[in-house]
Amino acid sequence: MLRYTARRIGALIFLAIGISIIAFSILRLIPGSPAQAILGTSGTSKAELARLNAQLGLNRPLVIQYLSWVGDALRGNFGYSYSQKQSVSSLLAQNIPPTLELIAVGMVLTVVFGMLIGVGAALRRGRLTDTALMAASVTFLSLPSFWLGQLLIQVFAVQVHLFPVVGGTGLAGLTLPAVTLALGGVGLTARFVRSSVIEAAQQPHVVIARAKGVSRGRILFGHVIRNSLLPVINIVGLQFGSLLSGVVIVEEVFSRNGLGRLLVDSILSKDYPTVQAVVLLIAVTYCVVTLLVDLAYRIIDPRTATR
Amino acid sequence: MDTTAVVSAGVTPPRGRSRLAGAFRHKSLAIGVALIVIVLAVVIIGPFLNSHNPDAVNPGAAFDPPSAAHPFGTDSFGRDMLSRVETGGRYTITAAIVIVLLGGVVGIALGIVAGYFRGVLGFVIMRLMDLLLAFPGLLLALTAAAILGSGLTNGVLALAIIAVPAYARVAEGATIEIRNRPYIDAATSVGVNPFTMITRHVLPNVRDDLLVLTSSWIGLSALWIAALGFIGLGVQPPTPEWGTLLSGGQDYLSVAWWITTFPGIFLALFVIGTNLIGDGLRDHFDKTL
Repeated sequence: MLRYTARRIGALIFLAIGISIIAFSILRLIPGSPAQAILGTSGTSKAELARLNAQLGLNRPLVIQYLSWVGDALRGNFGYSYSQKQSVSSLLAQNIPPTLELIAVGMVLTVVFGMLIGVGAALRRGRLTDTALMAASVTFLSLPSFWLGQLLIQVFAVQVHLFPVVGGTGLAGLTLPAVTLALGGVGLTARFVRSSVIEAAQQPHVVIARAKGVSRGRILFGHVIRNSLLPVINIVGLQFGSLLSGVVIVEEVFSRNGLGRLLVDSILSKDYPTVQAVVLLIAVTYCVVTLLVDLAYRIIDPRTATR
Repeated sequence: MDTTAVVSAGVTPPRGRSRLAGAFRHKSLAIGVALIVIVLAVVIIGPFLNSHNPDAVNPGAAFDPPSAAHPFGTDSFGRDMLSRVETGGRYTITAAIVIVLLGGVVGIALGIVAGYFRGVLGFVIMRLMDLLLAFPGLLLALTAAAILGSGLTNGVLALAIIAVPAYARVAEGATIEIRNRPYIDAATSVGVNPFTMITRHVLPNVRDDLLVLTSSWIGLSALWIAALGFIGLGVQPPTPEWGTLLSGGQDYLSVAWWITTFPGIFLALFVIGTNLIGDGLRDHFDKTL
């Protein structure tokens, strides 16, 4: 376990370096000079360009530039956003909490409803309920979230006035965005849980338990669901990634503040230091979460180590 | 006697019409194909039957609800939504197919090379793929869009990059599995060169996996190119791509539900169709293998 952990952390460090190189390259790969790109249309005077060039060290070799960018980033300094007129780190500080909130609620919805639908379908395997639940799951994971969000706004905010149309604070403002964000994951998780439960129910020890007369409820909760939970942990890790990517769209549809909307806005306004920071942050977070899920999986189920 | 013929005898899976026809016994495949046929019919044949020009502006007819003249209503410029949905589908679906073709060809090539030759080359290729996979979902496409800028071509390129590691992983895994079978060693021993080996023996065997992957990726790519269009980083208005149609109706949700409802229905049907086909193919191949 210790060796495995060390190896995975080593791999994570290499991955983080790769991610940082890609994020760093954003500003160097765009056409034109980086200083011009950072200032955008707001500053075009020669003196200002020269000052920023010197300040960013754009005259120095690329490797040095990269190392100093990474060094600053590790200390939480991602530069200055000229379009928003504040430091990128303060932009991040404002936008991380609402995104985390949305992802947390989305994750809870995904797991709870994914499990319910998946277990329900598995118990009624081959019957009409199963078919209906699985049809619903395919539909959930196929619906475009930007359209679904619009439909929900249309129905629950414009027609029924149950929730605020856009913005809105607290639970009321969070409900529609979280449902929109989670629905795809619910479909995916439900399909996964269903096959996992069906597989667990066919294990020999379940057959034995049934043969010796253990009650249905005890078999279901004590043997089947308990064992089928394991693969679900894996799905949670994967879902975290799609939720991280999904917030980009959902925050845009509901005009919610957050990292996703910050990313899109800064791409559109060519605010490159912010783009770099958000890309780096999201990708590294995703890798760390994936690692934690894998480690948790091995602790809970040591058999995976031998696979 | 031809050596390759000897080596491949008995390992080539049964193919032809009977095999495909059998696949339609799977309900999800049949429903998926039906959905795709309906959507494609509307998108391909629709514009020929519709007298409206998708780009013709008519301020007097702005925000007309669905009627006999405009079955899907009109948008804020009085443009006929039915013809915009039909033409928009051409952009979205063509883009999705090109994304998968581009990303698929590059990804399959990289995956097969990595899986067949292994060693340092394979290691480097697959670690690069891991790096691309470290960017969840749209993030990689957004990164590429930040560098390349918006537009149809750039959006397609950005999304093709996402497809590359997905294909590479499947192709590599399947290639390694096949690589270890005795008949590959046998073929190597009689001097079959790597290129022939890959095209004759490896590709046909990974085909099933890649077919399943492709059908769901076409739907996913359609979803993502529309998402890019929706947030303003993909196809640009006034081009009637499904995502830009949805973003164009965003401001008028409370006055004109039809602007967003119809493009969304078609996009959803298309994606559901591709996913069902993927499911059906997976079931089908699993049984025969």
